[in-house]
Amino acid sequence: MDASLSKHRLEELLSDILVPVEPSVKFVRRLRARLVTYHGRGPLSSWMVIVVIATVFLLVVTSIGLIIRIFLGWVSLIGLISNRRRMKSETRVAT
Amino acid sequence: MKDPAMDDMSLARRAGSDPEAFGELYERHIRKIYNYIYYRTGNHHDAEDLTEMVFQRALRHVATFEDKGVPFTAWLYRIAHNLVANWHRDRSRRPVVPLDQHAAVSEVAEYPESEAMALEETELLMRIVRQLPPDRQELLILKFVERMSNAEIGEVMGRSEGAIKSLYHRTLNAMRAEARSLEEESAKARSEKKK
Repeated sequence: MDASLSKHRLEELLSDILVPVEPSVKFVRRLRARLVTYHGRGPLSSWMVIVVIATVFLLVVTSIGLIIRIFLGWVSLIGLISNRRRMKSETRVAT
Repeated sequence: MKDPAMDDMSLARRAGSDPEAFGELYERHIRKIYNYIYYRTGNHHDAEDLTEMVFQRALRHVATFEDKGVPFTAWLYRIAHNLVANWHRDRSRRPVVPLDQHAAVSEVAEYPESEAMALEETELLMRIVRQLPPDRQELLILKFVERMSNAEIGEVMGRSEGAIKSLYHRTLNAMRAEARSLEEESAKARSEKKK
């Protein structure tokens, strides 16, 4: 490099070496997809939030229904058994 | 598709809830930010990683972005500046030789003499640029790569136009002094070799 580098020459050299570079098209497209398409329309989407809430609600309602049915089944089974015992004891007393 | 005339501030206000608005801002600024990071790091691989981090951070915080009279670009450059500073700090703890720089040096012998000298000159100048303090590097990148005026650079760097002008002249003088001292060093080394 010229030892007595003038200001003008230095500016010329800087204009030659500091030139815009282009990022790869693949990188630009992939990053956009990651930021906008997936992230933007993903968990932040209002439709997605509604779908998730509706699914959770349906699952909760279904499981509560199932629990109630099992509970009622147990109660009726216990009722049947106790009823049969009561009837047996009543026949024994009558005879 | 967004209105191309819509300014950055209007897009930034919507970007928190509208992915397409953020996408438009991304398209407008990705190249500027990439260029800035590329010249601050010196290689494409780290430039891609850091550019991705800049836009991820911007996406996380764009909803809280406030118009304080500073351009949206300045906000993005600030994020990039902080991430590059962290990157340099991490690297100073674990120094590594970039592969592309290494490859460029090893390819010199295959070029004709004049091309090799030009390449040497370019590498020397780039080395001088990278040795400058971060704010001076930022100034040169914005001036020569982005072709911004002193007033625009001032907006991005948060300084007055006069301060930028003065910093620019001090930077050129410092670079000339550094080039002179490097030239003297290499001349001394050449004369010692001849002896």
